Amino acid sequence: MCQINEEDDEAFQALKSGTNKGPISRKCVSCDQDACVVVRTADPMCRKCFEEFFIHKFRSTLSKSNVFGRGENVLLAYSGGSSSSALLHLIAEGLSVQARRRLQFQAQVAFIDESSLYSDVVSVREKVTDLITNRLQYPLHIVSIDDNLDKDDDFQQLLLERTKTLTAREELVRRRRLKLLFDIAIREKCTKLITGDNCTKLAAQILSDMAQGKGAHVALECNLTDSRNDLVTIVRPFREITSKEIAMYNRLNSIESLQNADISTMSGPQSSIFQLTETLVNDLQRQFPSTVSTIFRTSDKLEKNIRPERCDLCCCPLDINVDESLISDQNRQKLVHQLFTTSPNSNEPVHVCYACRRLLRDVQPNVQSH
Amino acid sequence: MPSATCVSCNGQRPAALVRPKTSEPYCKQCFFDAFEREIHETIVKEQLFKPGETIAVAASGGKDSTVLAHVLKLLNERHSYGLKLVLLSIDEGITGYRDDSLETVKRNQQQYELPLIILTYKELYGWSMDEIVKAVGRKNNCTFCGVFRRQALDRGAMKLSVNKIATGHNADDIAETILMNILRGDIARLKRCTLIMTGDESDDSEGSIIPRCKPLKYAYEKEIVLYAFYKRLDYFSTECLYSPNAYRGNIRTYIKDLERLRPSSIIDIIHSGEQLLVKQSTKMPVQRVCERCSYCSSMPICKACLLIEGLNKGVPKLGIGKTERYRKEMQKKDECCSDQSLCHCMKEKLTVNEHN
Ligand SMILES: [Zn+2]
Ligand SMILES: [Zn+2]
Ligand SMILES: [Zn+2]
Ligand SMILES: [Zn+2]
Ligand SMILES: [Zn+2]
Repeated sequence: MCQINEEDDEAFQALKSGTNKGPISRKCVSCDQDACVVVRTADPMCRKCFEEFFIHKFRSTLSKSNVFGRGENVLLAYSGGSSSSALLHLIAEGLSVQARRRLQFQAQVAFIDESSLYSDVVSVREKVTDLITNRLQYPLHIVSIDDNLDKDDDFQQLLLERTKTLTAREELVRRRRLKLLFDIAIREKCTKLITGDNCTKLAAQILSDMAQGKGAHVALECNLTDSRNDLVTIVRPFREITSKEIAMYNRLNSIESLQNADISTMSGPQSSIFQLTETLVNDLQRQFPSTVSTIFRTSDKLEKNIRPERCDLCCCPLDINVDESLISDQNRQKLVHQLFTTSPNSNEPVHVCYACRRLLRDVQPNVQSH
Repeated sequence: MPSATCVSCNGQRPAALVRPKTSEPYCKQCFFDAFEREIHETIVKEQLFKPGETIAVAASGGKDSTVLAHVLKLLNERHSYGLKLVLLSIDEGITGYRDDSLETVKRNQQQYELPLIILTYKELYGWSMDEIVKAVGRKNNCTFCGVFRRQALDRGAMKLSVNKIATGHNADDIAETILMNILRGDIARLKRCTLIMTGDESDDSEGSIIPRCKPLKYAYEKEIVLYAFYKRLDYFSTECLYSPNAYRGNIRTYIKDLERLRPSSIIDIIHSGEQLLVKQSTKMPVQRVCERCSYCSSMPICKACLLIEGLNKGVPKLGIGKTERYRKEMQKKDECCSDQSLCHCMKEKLTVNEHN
């Protein structure tokens, strides 16, 4: 019998023997035990089988095409959210000496701290340090989202006052986060960057990217390995696991995620393209349970854009010709250099993709004219 | 925005409207100029027409096709495209249904002085929809109206031996279709729906049907409505009896919300769609040509010919067999009309494509 009885949790369907009418007789699809976990209404599972299924899915994704080399330095992007918390847990288990098929890479963890953007938010640095450094004992790199910026180009002011839309704010933070993660990985000689992107989130991301003119990068953004950066490959071991499955796994293993402020929750009731899309995908998924997997399957049939010229903002291959992608406005060029490139020469030309060009239109580049 | 001045003529005239595409104030004249110029630029850039060609403008009497006919006629004269334009309308033969829209098309013919050809289902297939309903009952007529409607323009155009068909699909339609195809995993149509021209030499996935083009591909629906309104064009605003199913309804609302957050979203989705590359390894349906009617089909005999055969032999269920189960499943998601009423949504059926 199962210990977990959380009736009102959407991700959960507790089956109490003898009380509820419907699910009493439901048995685990893989063994004959009573089921306590229902991820897809058609196949209830008992706890043991669910965990086996979940870990198997995770491990088989990782072992596909031998993503990691023995002893390779790998950076884990930890945000405190439920996905990356589950990821950390699984990897810690996989790396432990007792693991059945031990993972063979060397893990380090990166945490990008956004708390400096908001005035009355307590940083979660201490909690992160306690978990990663003290309990798991991995090398930890905490970097603030406005790290390495001069005093006079205040990222907070840029985002909250000079960026017109929440969509542009979210997308700027998303790109800068990735940029910082790449920087840490390169500095720490990590050749892989593991992220917790799950397939529910990626499905919303695919549509949201489509809506922002980023169709050229959809295939790259949901692939298991993403080589937009020549030195660091992004790996997404959760790409075939849904947010529901992750929530369930966390629940069963008492894995806690951190309450963390982000630009969306801090921007009030405004909506963004990503939020709108996420709502749509969740609504559709509720009515048509194959929505997420269909979006995902569609994008799996798409070819990656492999043009060698990259966008200076999102690091993806350019999808417009080089002339069109050149930023002519001096102030914008300077802005991109400050936020996204390590090149000391701010006169070097800046090229951006269609979507990033569109994004920059919502950003006022210089303080003076404000 | 009453006090603002037009951004285009630098304040020579007061603004009369806000352009949906750019959110900028425009006077009427400058809006007309910009709207027409952009369509002209699309036609030139995409090489939609060649001098001397005969173009059938698919005319339903609705706003899109009315604006298309008006603008093509105007640009053809202004820029000497050297095209022969004809209006092509399809009459399904549903008593009372097409009357008003066909009246509109007939008035358009006189206003634009363009030849009008109305082809009936009776002429194209040997059966009118009313007769089909009588023969098969209301339950099954949807199969027929879907299949027949998809082919009607092509069959009509082949009959008239025109060089190309121009349809009134606008940017909103195309953005919606791109998202729909992602959501239903239709990779073959996902690529094709972004093409501004299908069925020409460059499109090798298609049989020898008549090329189709969409000159309004980059025109916003809102701008088409404004253009028709300020130009006082005579069009028939269809009280569409069709209520979009949950799926399509969701997507439509989503696109409207996106447009509110960022007016360029519709064009951005089209840009995204145009950038998608399908993996070489992806299986695509093989297109060949129907042995009877030379319409493109994945089978030796196309669905329409199969249905006609059934009707003529008095076994109307022929062709609604095995494939129908699959079709039913598709229609659960994308029902074109309820069982007891006739499908009244020409535009829907042109964009809602199903597997044959
Ligand atoms: Zn079991
Ligand atoms: Zn970019
Ligand atoms: Zn003007
Ligand atoms: Zn045929
Ligand atoms: Zn119908």
